[in-house]
Amino acid sequence: MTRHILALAWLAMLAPPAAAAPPSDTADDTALEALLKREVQGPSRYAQSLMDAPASVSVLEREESNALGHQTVGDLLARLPGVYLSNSRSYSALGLRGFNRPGDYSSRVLMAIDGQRVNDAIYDQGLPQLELPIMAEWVKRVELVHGPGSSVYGSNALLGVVNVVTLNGADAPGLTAQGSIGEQGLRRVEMHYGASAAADRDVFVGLNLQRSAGDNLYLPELGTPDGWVRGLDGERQAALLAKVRHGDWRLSLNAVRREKDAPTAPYGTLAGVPGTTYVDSIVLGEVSHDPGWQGDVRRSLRLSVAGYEFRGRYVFEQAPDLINKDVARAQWTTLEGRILWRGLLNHQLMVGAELRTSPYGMQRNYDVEPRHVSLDSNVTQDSAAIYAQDQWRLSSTLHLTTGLRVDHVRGFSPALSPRAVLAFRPDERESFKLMWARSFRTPNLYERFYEDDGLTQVSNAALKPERVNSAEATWEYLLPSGHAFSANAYYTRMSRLIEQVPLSDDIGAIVQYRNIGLVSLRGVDLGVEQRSAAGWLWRASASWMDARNDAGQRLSNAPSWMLKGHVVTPQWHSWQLGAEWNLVGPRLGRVDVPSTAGLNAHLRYQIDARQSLALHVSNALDRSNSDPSTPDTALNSIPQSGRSLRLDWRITL
Amino acid sequence: MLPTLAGAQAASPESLKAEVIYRVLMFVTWPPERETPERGLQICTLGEGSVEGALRSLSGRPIRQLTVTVRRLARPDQHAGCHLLYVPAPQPALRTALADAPVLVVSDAAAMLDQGSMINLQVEDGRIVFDVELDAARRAGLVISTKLLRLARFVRHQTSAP
Repeated sequence: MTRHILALAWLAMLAPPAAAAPPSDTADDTALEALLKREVQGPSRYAQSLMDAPASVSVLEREESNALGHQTVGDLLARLPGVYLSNSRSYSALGLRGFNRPGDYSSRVLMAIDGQRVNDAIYDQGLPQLELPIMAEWVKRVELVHGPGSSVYGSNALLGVVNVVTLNGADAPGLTAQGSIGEQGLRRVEMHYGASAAADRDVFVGLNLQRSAGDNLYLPELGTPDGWVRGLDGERQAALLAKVRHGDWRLSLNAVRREKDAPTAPYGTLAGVPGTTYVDSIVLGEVSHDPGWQGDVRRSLRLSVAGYEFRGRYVFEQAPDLINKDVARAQWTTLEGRILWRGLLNHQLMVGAELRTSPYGMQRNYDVEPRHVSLDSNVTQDSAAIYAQDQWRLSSTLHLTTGLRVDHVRGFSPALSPRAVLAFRPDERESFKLMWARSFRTPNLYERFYEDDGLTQVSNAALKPERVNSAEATWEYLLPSGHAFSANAYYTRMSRLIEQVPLSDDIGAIVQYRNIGLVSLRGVDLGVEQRSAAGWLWRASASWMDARNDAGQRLSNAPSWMLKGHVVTPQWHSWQLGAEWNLVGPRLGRVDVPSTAGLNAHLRYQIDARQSLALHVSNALDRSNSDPSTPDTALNSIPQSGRSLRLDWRITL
Repeated sequence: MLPTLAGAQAASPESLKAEVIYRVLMFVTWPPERETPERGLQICTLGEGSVEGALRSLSGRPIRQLTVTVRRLARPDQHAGCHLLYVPAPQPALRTALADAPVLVVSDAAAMLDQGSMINLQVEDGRIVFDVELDAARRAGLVISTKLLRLARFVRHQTSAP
């Protein structure tokens, strides 16, 4: 595709059913088109083919994540400029642009797998670590599209869109199995199988099973007899990905079940007592049809069916037991059709329509014995959206992308999400982009309808959608030596932000979600990377962020600076080392947390052509880092893991 | 999932550009008197350019009923008989020498679209793209198929209909 409308994250779903048969058998224009898709050797490859995309996009590929010993998509995302992860020891969270409110579930970032939305229909969760149904080993690359993306993706794409592009069978042929053991009782088995026949048949299957006992934590604030909480940080996860491509058709099934013990005594549960746990399950299924370009037109259709279930178990008293349970369950089905048209010279037009229905979105809260139901809510949701985007080549160096999407969610007034990007490409090595966009997020069912007899939360059916306006500028530059530089500056304003508001001054007061926030996020991300001819590969980035509310106060869990980087050595006699580091500035919270530092190293030894052994050290400097506390717990801050070792053995058959 | 040709590895830019030029030729029609099988289809090169060697390998391949031959010019005014002229760098005397002769001028230098090139190849995001100066090609009496135009990155033209 020379006219590059596809290049954003939704590229994945639009990729043609790989260039078919050999050129000699096909029409002249198909043969030329296939030729224009072939990669050229040279430094431009390192720009990850996204300088031309109508957005600022950061990418991390499989090769790098593999050498750094990544296991989760969050590990990959943490390498990208401007991203910071946090962990409440119940859930992980993804921060962008200095925005990562404690207790949020990353609902302001749209998370997608091969273009299919992951954010669920109850909490809007799209969480980056083991909550996600994809493991790092199944990822071909992760793309982070910076800034609002609602003009194509709809709700949730406020601060960015993460698209996880998974492997095809052709990318990883054969069976690969991996076993890991590590400290904190880590046991993990991961395997994947890929196969492809001809150009139009492809299968990929991945399976992951893991568990860990987690840390014994010294949490004196919780008032356990000796201040320790032991054996309550366990995590168990199983994930599956299966996808098949046959001709123009693609079918995929993706599922995860994650169980996490909560050591932080959330919501006033008993501290130091087992049994308070969270279980999250997601199933995503999709069938899509894309016959590729037929003359000037390309039509694609996808139908996806998704389900999500949350089960929370809370131990409030023992002997006699008082167990409270939270259950949330939702199902949603989405039908999306899209047409690309290139019949007008120097333009590429895209129009699309999306229908979504969620026949049930159930939330229930009850005490087990004596049985008492305090919440029983079930809501049906429907939405319809249409969108259009035009990419207009003004000259060989300038293009303008404009887009508009209208979403109508039942019960809310229509939301308009426009977007405009002007991109200037003076030559192959340099690009400038200016972008302005508006996005929205519909309040989710948890924010609107969760109410548990006045124990923790009061519902608010009157919530309105959040809004974001953002302007940003990006510069990318490539040197012949293989150095690539990037700079991205943004000014993002979020209005009617939905935030938890305590209804009294007491600690542990009942909360309600309200449209109160007005937040501005300003910042700059600078990045540099190089692949040297000798095989070294390194990246570094520096971010400055200023996230404030309308009173001018800094937001909680918002660092004002961040420095990160990684380096991968060439293979030297069967040995290869990858190392990554993160420095994150101090963050405000219930108690402010000082700056954190993390260093991970991954040393791999290739035993023979099929087997390798690797030693992974995370937090190698054994720094005691903390994340700001989340509202559900009485802790002042959440301690993070110290140094831990892991051994991976991998075999490919 | 970037589209890749089945089994294709990254190729050298020169060989890929030459291959694209060959494929582009299939979508260009010369005035009938210039398309005679006995004279073949002449690819001419002018000046030193990295693609020149790769273009030589096209020699002998068929385009419709024509066979490709490749020859090198010392000066722009030696273009008689050329169907395609590959110019790796701006040539001051090029426009006057060619006038409106039916020669498809092809280049891969960045600014050449303003300096007489009708098809200009560039590398963008690791792939070959090309721009078309449609008005210049029409003045020279060449017909470029719309199939080719829709694969172009940018088509410069005054008239609205392609």
